[in-house]
Amino acid sequence: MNNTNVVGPGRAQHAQGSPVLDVQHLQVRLETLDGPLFPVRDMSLRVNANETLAILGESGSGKSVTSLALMGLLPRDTFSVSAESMRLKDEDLGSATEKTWRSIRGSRIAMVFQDPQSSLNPVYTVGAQIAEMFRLHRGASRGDARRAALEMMDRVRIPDAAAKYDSYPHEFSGGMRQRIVIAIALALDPEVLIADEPTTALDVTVQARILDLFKEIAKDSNMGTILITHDIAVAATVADRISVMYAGRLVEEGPTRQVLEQPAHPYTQGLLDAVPNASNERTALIPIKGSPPNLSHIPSGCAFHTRCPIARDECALGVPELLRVAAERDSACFFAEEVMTNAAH
Amino acid sequence: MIRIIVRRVAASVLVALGVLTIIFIVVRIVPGDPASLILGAGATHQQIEQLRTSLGLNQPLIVQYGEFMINALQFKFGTSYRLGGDAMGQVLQALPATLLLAATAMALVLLASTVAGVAAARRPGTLRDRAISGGAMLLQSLPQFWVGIVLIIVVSGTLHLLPSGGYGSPLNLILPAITMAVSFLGMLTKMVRNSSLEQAGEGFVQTARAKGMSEQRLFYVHILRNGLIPVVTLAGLVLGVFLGSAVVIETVFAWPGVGRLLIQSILNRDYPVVEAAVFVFALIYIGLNLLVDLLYGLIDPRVRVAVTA
Repeated sequence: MNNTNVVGPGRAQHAQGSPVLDVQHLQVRLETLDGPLFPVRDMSLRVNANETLAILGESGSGKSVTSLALMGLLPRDTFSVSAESMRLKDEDLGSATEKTWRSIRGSRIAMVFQDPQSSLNPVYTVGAQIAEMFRLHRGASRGDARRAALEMMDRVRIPDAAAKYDSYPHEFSGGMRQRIVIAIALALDPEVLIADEPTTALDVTVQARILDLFKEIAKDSNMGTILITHDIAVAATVADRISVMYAGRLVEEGPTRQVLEQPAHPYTQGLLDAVPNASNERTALIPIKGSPPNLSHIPSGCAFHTRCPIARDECALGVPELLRVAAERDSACFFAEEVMTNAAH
Repeated sequence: MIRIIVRRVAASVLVALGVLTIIFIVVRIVPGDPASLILGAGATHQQIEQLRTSLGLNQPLIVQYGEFMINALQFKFGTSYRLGGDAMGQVLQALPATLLLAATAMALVLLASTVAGVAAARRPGTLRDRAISGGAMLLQSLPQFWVGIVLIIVVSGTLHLLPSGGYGSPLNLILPAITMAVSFLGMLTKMVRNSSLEQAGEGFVQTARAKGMSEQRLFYVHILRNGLIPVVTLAGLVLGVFLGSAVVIETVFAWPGVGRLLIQSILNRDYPVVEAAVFVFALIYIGLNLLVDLLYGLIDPRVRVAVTA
């Protein structure tokens, strides 16, 4: 399920050192009447080709804002995005103009949104909405775009695509709609696919099928996938690596299995304790106390210290840096080793 | 689809019958005896009674109602007391003038409100938007008869640019059409603007933006079509309201349409013409609503299914 060594030729080639998307120290500032807020304070991520990175966090952790920043979709009049570096292969996204973004969006970085009920235009046929990608970016003729769109519908396993092409979104179920949204995103073979809670709005059985589709797609293509989710089970199913966000900051990062088995941040540990799994099925679930901080009142020091079971005095004073705590493992906790040791028992 | 159309048409016929009944009742309730009006102040009691008999006005109400309905369904409303000749014929003769006026005003409203509404919605919150929204609000609050009179005073009286009334040349059409359009111009402009801006917050707009298209394409291809859906419904109703406002505007501008005919007939207790005119207006209104219902499915695929189901 994760970091397996069943790798295609493409994967071996890209696995080391050449990320398709590399973002260091991303910050998003939101101007409000009461002064600036920071939905994202310090987020870094690196996705390789043929790899799935899950960004895990509660609502308000900044994960969705991060994804919009990566698409250049945050309105420029209210948000300002800055980063130490923000690169899509050779392209410097940090200095990209709106015109550059327009050519990147959809064709090099594509996005799947959360709610398939609302993410398709109700007055156009599903086929036309896929075909639009080829018309927009490739200048394809109507006929060519239609053929290409039909092919995409097949690829996302929509049965009898030719008959469904002229259907309208409201004639489709949620799962089928999400397949169309995925087909739109994959149409131009993007280098990076960002999926923001792609299964959250779906029934559980449909969720599983959509996740299967994601895995299948990730296996067949050479793109890097960023999966934004609040659901550990979803991350565990599809991700190679997990990044955990809390209050706009990256607090832990590592290979999926290691992060889940031996978390290096008390927040991650808290998330794990709060959901049922094989190791705690006979014990009571432990919720994380309190609730995520309001953007305008983020606690000093480590933002998690007010809810943290092992917080000490220094946690309220200094912001712990994200540091390497083991091979491939990063954590932003002063007591990462202690957390890992406890988790091992 | 055919079943739906049949069902809607059947419902419309029922409405038409209801309208006829109301026309009958209202016209009988209104004070004033047509026989004495026709004959004038010098008529003897006997003459009046004679005329009442020949007009059928001394029959029991229920008999009058039965005859009225049977005749009305054949578009027979009797002879105009005032003008002589068939009442329905009088109305149909005046109808083209009213339709021309209403259609011109409608074209004006649709065109101008779409242009202005789009201009405002493309740059919300800017000076341009505020000017358009404020202007729309102002237009919406002006009473029609007042606009008509002011236009006549300023444009015809002071500036001598256009005729103040009459019929025959396109120049005669301009002022009454503008007067008719004014308040709905404001209303529909705001509608186009607000409904487009509402759509701009929908999820599919984010998807479309993520596809990598220009803001222009995003607006005209994805947002506007959704934004215009409620406008179409309203436009159908507005056309109906235009017929009502024709009564005032045609009177102000001496426009020889059904509205003016109706007012003159009411003032003269010319029942047959009043009945015929109201019935024609009602039929047009019912027809428009039917048309809007059916047209709605063309722009909004969701309605097609909802209606079929």
